[in-house]
Amino acid sequence: MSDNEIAELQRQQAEIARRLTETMGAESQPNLHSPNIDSPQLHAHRETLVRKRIHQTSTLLPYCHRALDNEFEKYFREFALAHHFNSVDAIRLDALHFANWLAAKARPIPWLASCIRLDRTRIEIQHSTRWGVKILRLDYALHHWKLDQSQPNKKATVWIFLNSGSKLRVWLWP
Amino acid sequence: MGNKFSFATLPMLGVGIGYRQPFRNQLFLQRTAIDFLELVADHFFSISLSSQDELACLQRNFPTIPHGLALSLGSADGLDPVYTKHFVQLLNSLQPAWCSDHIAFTRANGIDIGHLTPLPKTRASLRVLRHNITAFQDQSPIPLLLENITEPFRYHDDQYGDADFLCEICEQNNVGILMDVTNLFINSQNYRFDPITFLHRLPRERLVQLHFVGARYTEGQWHDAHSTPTQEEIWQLLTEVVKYGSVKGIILERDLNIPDLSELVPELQRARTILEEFG
Repeated sequence: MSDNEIAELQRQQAEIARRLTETMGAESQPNLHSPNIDSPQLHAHRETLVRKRIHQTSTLLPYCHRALDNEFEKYFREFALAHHFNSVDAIRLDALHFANWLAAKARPIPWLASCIRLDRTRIEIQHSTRWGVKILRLDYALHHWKLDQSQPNKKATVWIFLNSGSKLRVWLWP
Repeated sequence: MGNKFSFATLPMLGVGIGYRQPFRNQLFLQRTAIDFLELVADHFFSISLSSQDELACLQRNFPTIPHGLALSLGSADGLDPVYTKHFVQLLNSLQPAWCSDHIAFTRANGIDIGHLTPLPKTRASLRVLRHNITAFQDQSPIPLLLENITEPFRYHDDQYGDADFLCEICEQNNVGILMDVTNLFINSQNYRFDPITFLHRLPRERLVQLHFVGARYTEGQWHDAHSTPTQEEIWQLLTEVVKYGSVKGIILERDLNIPDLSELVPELQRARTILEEFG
């Protein structure tokens, strides 16, 4: 595949990929003009992609999402300007890196820092095949934990009770 | 795969669902409603024991069809050797009746877009598809079906119409069609063409499998949300596709807002009735 038509297609695809990812999340509309595609349609598609990432990330970071409310989307769009992951594990990486990015940004806000820490812990437990060991090695002072599998057709719930009085709920597939 | 492969010889699989984790513990409660499962191939590339156990359990109990999300057959950069290797290993392990991916690209210049992106309907795209499909089929003899996607944008330099492009893909390659009825409905509404006229241009013996689910209408456009019950217009279109094609399998593809599996059984039963009556 080396003739001009193929080279042009390759260039066009690279340009579309760059425009759909590198500038993802920009509040102002960057130049998405392409001679072969309607700019508003491409912009709408980019917006769909970033909304999909916001939805997926908010699912993985429920404490942060609840704490930040509408600000969550604003922060994520800022984060997405410079971050895009090329991996089958991109959803989890997005959430973990966004949590780290948020932690650096939110140092002066102590309550948000604790939400970030709880969410990060949830993700680590949820994605660990040895989640029981993970719980025992938590950074938190652990009081006790229990596994609730009372609904056989649903996800199991792990309740983690911390010495501080906080409790953490993690859903797992048993 | 030889050039004379006839898709008419593929087995009839019936009606099933796109397997998602939330269905895991309910599958056997609804066993009689599900003839086969379509697995997202990418979810089973992991070599973890739990993933392999899950796959083995599904394989023991259901006919399974792997469906790829990121083979990126339309990518002018060629196939990703790592992804292709994983896909082929999965096919070797499952030995399914067929496998499928999309008419799209998801990767360019080392960037993974994370979404199915449409191709321009040009000679160059056809050449790229032919090159990549041949490279894939050189590694696996399992029959390959290609799925139509929703098109969030279109190119001004298209050299083929929608049906002509799909016909050319079938003409130039030994592939069948996985017709996503919902995507066909969405594109026909958003770009204002008649889906039945489109359908009747296609080679009927290549129409092997169908996807369906509800579509969502917002801000003047139809969207492929995979999150709602199937609308009546989509049922009507599905019936027309079954009447016209040589459909061997129908999959309900629900990804978001996933209800209890028992709530999806009436949709599966309706699809089965259509397949039995008109297939």
